[in-house]
Amino acid sequence: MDEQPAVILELHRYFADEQNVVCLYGILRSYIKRARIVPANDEAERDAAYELLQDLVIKAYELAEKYHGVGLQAWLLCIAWNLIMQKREKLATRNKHEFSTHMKPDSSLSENVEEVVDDLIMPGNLEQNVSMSVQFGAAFACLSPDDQRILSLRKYYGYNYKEVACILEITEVAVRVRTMRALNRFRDAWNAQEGGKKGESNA
Amino acid sequence: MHNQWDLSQEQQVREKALYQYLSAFEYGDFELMGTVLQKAVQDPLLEAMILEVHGYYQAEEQITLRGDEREKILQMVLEHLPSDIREEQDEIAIPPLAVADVIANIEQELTQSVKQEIQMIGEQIPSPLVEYSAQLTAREQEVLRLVARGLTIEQMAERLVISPRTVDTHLKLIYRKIGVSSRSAATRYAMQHHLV
Repeated sequence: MDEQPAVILELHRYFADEQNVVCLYGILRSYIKRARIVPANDEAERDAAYELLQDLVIKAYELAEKYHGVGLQAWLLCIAWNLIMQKREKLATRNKHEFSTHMKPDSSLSENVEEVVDDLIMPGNLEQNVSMSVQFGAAFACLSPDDQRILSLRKYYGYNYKEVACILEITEVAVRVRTMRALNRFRDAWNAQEGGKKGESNA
Repeated sequence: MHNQWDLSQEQQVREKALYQYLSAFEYGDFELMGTVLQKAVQDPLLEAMILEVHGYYQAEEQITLRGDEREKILQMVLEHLPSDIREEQDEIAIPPLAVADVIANIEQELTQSVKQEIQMIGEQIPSPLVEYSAQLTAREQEVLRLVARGLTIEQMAERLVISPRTVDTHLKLIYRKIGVSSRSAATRYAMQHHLV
């Protein structure tokens, strides 16, 4: 047998390990769930993930020579991402429906909500701007106690993910996900406040 | 008050990228996800963080595999590996080669005196070797040879460029085929059958 390029052997080792394949398939399932390219039911999602994994294996070997990174799994997810995007485009053309912005929040805080919150919380900023302070307080009050707790620990007290995980007795990755969700809910509440203010000024 | 900004600049960039990825993932914003994934190809730490987060999501969403589904997936992946790779991975049976054929091949390249010696050896080879050739695949013979040389599962995996799990599977099949239950017995078998 001819000497295989290193990346082919790396791919081979990766796919030969059952744990890797099962883990990858799990991620693809969660991608499919969110990509909205099949009806939202368990069976359709399983079938689509199976098909995606099949396409991914074939594509990975086809593109192997173009891989020059250090994160093989991230590269495989990139390929999966590409395949999903192609499917979405096809579907969008067929249905004349744009998927990408379907659920994307449309607001001033949408892109950089974390940075905006960080800025707001910086000492002096809220005190200087009374109306912003009121809006911030009102938006924060709309959050659940759990969301308030996690955002306070992260953004006001400045604990890192590991420290918050110790305080709340949950895993670090759970802190990351919950912080992100709390920030998103904060953004929605903030935007609702902003919408309310605009309504008042128009009246 | 603690300071979360004590993190290195690189780690801050990573944290931000992960946050973007998570947010995009929750909203199904695939354009943004793609940008972060491309960064992760060059950054193993970011890659590890992303994979860890997916582990959390899978547990939270209770994404599990049915028994038959697992087999089906593994089989499909195996079938789609390039054929030259597949040979490495799986035990593809090769037609049994008679000892006489092997000797005949070697014979062509040897001198007359050695030829005579080989002929004598060939006549002395016990018949079980032919049965053994028919039993084990080429890959299994190779694994058995390495067992007899005292390599560990990890070393064999490294040598054969397969996962330790695959080596283990090969070993189980070999043990079953040759009717032994230990490495020492397998080694003895390999020696008796002139594999080492």
